[in-house]
Amino acid sequence: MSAWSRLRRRTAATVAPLSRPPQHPAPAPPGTAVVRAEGLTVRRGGRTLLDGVDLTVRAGELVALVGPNGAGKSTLLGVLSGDVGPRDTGAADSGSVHLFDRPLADWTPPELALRRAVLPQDSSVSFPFSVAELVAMGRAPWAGLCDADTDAAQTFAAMARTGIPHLAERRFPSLSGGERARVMLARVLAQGTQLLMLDEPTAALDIRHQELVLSVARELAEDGRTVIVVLHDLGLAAAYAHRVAVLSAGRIAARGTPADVFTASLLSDVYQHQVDVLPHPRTGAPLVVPRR
Amino acid sequence: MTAPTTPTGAGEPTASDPAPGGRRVRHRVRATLLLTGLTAALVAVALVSAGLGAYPVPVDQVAASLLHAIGLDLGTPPDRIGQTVLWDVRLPRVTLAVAVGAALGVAGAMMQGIFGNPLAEPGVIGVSSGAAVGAILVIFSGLTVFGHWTIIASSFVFGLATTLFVYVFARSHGRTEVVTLLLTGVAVNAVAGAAIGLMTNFSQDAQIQTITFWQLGSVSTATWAKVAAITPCLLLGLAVIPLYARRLDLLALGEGPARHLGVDVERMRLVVIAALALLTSAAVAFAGIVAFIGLVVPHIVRMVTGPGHRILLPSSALGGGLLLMSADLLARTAAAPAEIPLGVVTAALGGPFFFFLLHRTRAKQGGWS
Repeated sequence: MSAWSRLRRRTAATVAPLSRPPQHPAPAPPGTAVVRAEGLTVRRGGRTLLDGVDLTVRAGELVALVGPNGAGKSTLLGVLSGDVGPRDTGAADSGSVHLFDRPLADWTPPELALRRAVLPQDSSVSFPFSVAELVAMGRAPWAGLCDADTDAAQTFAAMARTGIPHLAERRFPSLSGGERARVMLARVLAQGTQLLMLDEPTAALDIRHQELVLSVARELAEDGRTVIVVLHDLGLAAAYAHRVAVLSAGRIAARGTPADVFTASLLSDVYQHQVDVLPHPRTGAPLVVPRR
Repeated sequence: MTAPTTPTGAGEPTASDPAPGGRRVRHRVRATLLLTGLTAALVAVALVSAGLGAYPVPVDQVAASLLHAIGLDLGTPPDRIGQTVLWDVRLPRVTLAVAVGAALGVAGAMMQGIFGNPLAEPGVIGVSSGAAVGAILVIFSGLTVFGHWTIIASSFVFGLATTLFVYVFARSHGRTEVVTLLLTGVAVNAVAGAAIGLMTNFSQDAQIQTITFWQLGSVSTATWAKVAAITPCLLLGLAVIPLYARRLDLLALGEGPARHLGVDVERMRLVVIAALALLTSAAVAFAGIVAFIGLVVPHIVRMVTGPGHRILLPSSALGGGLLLMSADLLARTAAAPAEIPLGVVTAALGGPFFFFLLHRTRAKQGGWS
């Protein structure tokens, strides 16, 4: 895309509130590549956070990014979502990210907000908004494209899906950690995008809600959406992900279905701790057990 | 490999499961009540305030005079002296007070939104003092490059520079920590105080009087010319509300999430900071340093209708006008015929309110950190 058309697109987005909202996104047919990253390298302060990472994620897929602390999972998600990139100072990046077959940098924020939602790792809110108001914020990109009833219905559906309708009137600061995490997930679901990027959505949750969150993510993928999720819990990744990518020291050490990738030798190597991998007696899904 | 697909529809729909529509309606009713209540109170206090003073004019005559001015012959307007007092002294003062209060109220609410910090306020973080340095510099040097607008221009430049400085200095990861922000304010206020003190020290007596006026805050020298000069600044600042109110809500989630929801954060930052610097410096140029309006009003509004900026910003404008006009009424009638400086009255109201906020926050969440 030339600089001229990029400038024109930016100008159009600038006056968008005055003229007309961005176009409704076209649906992505199952199997098409939604995210295509090639040769991503990110260096910060002399450290290489990502080193030549390639990743393609297709519509209808739930892909889990796993790996030890500092392996670059969140950095990779940050690059894919546009948070980490040449915009940052001191960036020495190379590689490219395409979302929906268009370079990431060519999308304007309003266009992108209709197509992909991001759940960040930490959730804090500056003012005591109510839960209903926070979830409704997910509908903000659709202002002018949707009527109020659709917005309200989508907001309510997202709250029902994450099990928080009873919290609707509560103020965010009065919620527990697990409730906050689910409210933020509901906001991301309410955005109704084809692509979802979730950074450790289960970190603050108990078992029941971990299962709830990942089964919601899996359902979305089965419906044809695209979900990229950073996970620490290998058991969850094995049970819910269609494919996993194991990151280690900024590189992708292995990728494929959990059954193919989660082997004792690979995981012991990547995590630098001996683990055993056993098939679940009932489902056959791989169970990862650290040797103690 | 199969994943367990549990039905995830309902998390036990509870008894008082409010239809989303009903909640919206209730919220809207509350907001409408607040806005109409504030407008009504503003008009009522304005009528009373315009009538009170050394030459009292009954409220019905004030109303009649105003209606007469727009071509409606209803009721009996006051006599000629009353008419002169009303139109040459009281009404410009009341109008200027409302304009300054509205500017400070909105500026405070915007600043809290853009800083992501409920304690940001032009006076507290030093933007008012910065703008005052600009204004006093003009008085001190006798500069008149842009005529009457020189003071506004100078205080705008200084106010904007101070805002940007505090914004850049106190922010990290899209938010400002309360302690850092307040300490930055302490430092900025100290530097501005030093500059003002230096200029006061080397000033003539006549200049010192004007400078003191700026430091204590007052709308007693109001004229229609000043009202005419502040109005475009106020309107320009208020024009930001419909464009950015919803995006300021999204900014409460943090910069990254706001961007992911389609907000061009950099542009919003520039526009809103320019608007709030314009509002603050216009208020400072015409009324001096009047502290705490931008802190007290948005907090009270948030307690009533919650933090949504679409209601918060217009309500803060109305509430700021109402509060400043009432404070000015108090300032000129409490010790009549003497006048208490306006800044003294608002500080006497705002200081205890600050204590109250501190106490409430400590009781609730163990303080700010």
